[in-house]
Amino acid sequence: MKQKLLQINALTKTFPGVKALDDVDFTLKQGEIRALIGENGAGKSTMIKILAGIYQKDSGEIIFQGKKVDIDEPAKAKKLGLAFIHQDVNLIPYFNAIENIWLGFNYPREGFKFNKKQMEAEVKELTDKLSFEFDLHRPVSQLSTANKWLVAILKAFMMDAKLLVLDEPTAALTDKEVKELFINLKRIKQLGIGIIYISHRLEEIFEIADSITVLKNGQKVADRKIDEVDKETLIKLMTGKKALTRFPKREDTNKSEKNILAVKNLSGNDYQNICFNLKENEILGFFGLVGAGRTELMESIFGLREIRTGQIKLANTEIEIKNPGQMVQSGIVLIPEDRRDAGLVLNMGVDENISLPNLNLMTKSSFLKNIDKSKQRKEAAQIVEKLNVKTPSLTQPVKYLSGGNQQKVVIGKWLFRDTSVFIFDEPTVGIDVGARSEVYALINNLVADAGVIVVSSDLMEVMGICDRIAVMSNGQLTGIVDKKDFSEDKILQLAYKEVE
Amino acid sequence: MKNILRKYGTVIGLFLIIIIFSILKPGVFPTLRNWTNILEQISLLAVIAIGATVVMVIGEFDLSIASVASFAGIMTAGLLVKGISMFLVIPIVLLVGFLFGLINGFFVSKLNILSFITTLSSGTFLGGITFWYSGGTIIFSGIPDQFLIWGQGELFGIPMVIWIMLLIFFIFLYIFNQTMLGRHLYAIGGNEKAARYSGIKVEKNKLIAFGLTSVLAALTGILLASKLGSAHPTAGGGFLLKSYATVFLGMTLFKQGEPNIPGTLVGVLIMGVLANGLTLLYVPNYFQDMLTGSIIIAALVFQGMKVQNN
Repeated sequence: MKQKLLQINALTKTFPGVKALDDVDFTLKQGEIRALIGENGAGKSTMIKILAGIYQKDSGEIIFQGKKVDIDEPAKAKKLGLAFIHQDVNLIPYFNAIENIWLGFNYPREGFKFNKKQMEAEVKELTDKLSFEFDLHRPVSQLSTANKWLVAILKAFMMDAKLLVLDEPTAALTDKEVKELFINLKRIKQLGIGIIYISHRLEEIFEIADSITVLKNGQKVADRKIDEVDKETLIKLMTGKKALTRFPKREDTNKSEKNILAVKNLSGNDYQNICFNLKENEILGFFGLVGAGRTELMESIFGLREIRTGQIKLANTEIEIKNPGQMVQSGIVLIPEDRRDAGLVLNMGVDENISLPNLNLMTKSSFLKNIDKSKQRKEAAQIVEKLNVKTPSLTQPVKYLSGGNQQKVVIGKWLFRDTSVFIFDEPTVGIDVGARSEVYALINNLVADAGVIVVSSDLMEVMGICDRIAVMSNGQLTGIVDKKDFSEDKILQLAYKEVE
Repeated sequence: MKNILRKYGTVIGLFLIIIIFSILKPGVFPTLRNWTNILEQISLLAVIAIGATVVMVIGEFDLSIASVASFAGIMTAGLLVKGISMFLVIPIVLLVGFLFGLINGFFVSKLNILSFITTLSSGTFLGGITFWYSGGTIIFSGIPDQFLIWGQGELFGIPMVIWIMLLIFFIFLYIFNQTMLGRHLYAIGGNEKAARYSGIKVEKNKLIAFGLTSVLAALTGILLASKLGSAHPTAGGGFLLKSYATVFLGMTLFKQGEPNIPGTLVGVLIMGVLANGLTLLYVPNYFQDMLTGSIIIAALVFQGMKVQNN
């Protein structure tokens, strides 16, 4: 029988107006991977922040390694051996792995110099113990996201962590990288380390976790062994809805055979010789491994990157792509993958973000280009209502919204004007199940009078919502699969197909 | 209470200073004449600082503004001495200032060079040209009296420079609060990538921002030459640090800490009221500098606290 590592009893935390955690119990044994799941706002991050010493609990007790502890500041959590590894892995990009791992510890010295040999030796000892394999001497900016996670984990081990908290580790990973990470996590757990695993991706929880705790509205609604539950049950527990169809059904109205976008022999720096058509009322998926060139291709079509050769026709008229502004005018928009980085001006309000690309349609005088603020408010309010964006006010800076609501604002920006082609790059990364199905429903609505391209690394997602799937590998289009021929094997084969 | 202090600290600070001076110098400080005097004193700093605010909004620096002001003064004086009408000279100098700003903007936005270095270098270069053109000396004889109206004249009993400052203030307040250009500049400063993905022409907007900053610096130089009745090749030197200090003071006015036009004016007022009041109290110059420096740091510490609390 494995020993209890962490026990939380009756944890409660109230914020003004909200009970973020209400009498929550939680246990974690040594060598156990426990998934912590729930919708945005369920209380996961509040609980983690209390463990990390960032928030103070109102009541309840935390018992760690058999002793009652009081974590009143982050340094205390570190001292106890609790390590928190976050989505945006915090590493210094131009330091290599060894330097990053040692950061925060006293570098060993040899006379007037750092003792680099000893630094490397100690890190090597750790990597051997965990059987991690990657280049320790490269700047971490050149490592894959998966390897950055390994560096962060090593850093945790360096401080002798007994408990790891991983927050959405797979959000930016390809399926292959996820598999590697999981192999590594299983090794870690054999060393008796306990892991709290937070993720929105239910499929992988069944692969990696031993047990699951589900939170909803600040309360614990379930504590199960992994083999006692299935996905449907979990979704039901999280959302409270009976049976939530993951991919909402699309009303097949008019299926046009009209080509709205035709790309011919397009080549750029990261992709070669791409040909495809997009029909009106069609959702075309773009699947591939990270680095296959999908994002680069889409950014070129949107005017953000250089195109070397090739031809693009929009509604049978050839267009020359100059810049995003011109593409927006002609009716092509791109909803970027990283919404905080490329989709939103975080300090600006919901209304200002929504109106940002549309200001030229909201001016009072074409000479002064002065903004009609009442129109801006009205249009923003309509979009907020239509997309069910949860925000206290229209002027609320978007940085205070949850991931799902931020994504709705990014999409909402583009609903104001006439658009014939919507390109979504990873539309559901990092947002919860409920918001996800809302995004899918929205895409389904859009396709009623436009063409939609969805770039995604989530195979289930493209298979669930697309009419056809284009697969890319290493900068080339390796195939386009029709809905009737969809199969995981077939698509993965195309994605892994070796091209020169 | 703490929140109120944090939110309106800078404005409360300004009022406190005004109250203190009014108590210490009752018959002198709070008079209409003295206030006209203060506003006249700050007007040039206000114009160049509003210019600095424009590039700060897009998250860049323009360190060439002082050189542009000096150059504009010398060029104006030089052309006027040759007998060219000021109604031709002033637009030409403003245009040259604008074009110089576009060059700064070109290096920053098209060639991706840090604005700090670009404008430091271009300012040094322009300083050289100014010396060359002027021969390193003051130009004063031969400037027509008519030109002095801008810096020394009055309109409806109020100094012309105050009217010009107010005009510039309201124009830029309008640009930033009511127009597409202003919104686009704030979007670029807030998140350049998101602005680009929203279809905003980032390069073009940056060029315009640098152009506007530079044209206001040139205007300041022209007004300074008119006020002094002469032009000196380093006349604008004192404006550089002061104008950025006021922009930073102004950034403490709002929660998100963005550069903004009303804030900059409050900053300029703080500097102007301090200088005026301390002089009335016969406080020596060096002590004035020490006090001004401390007040700016204190305001920025407040601002720092705000960022942490977010």
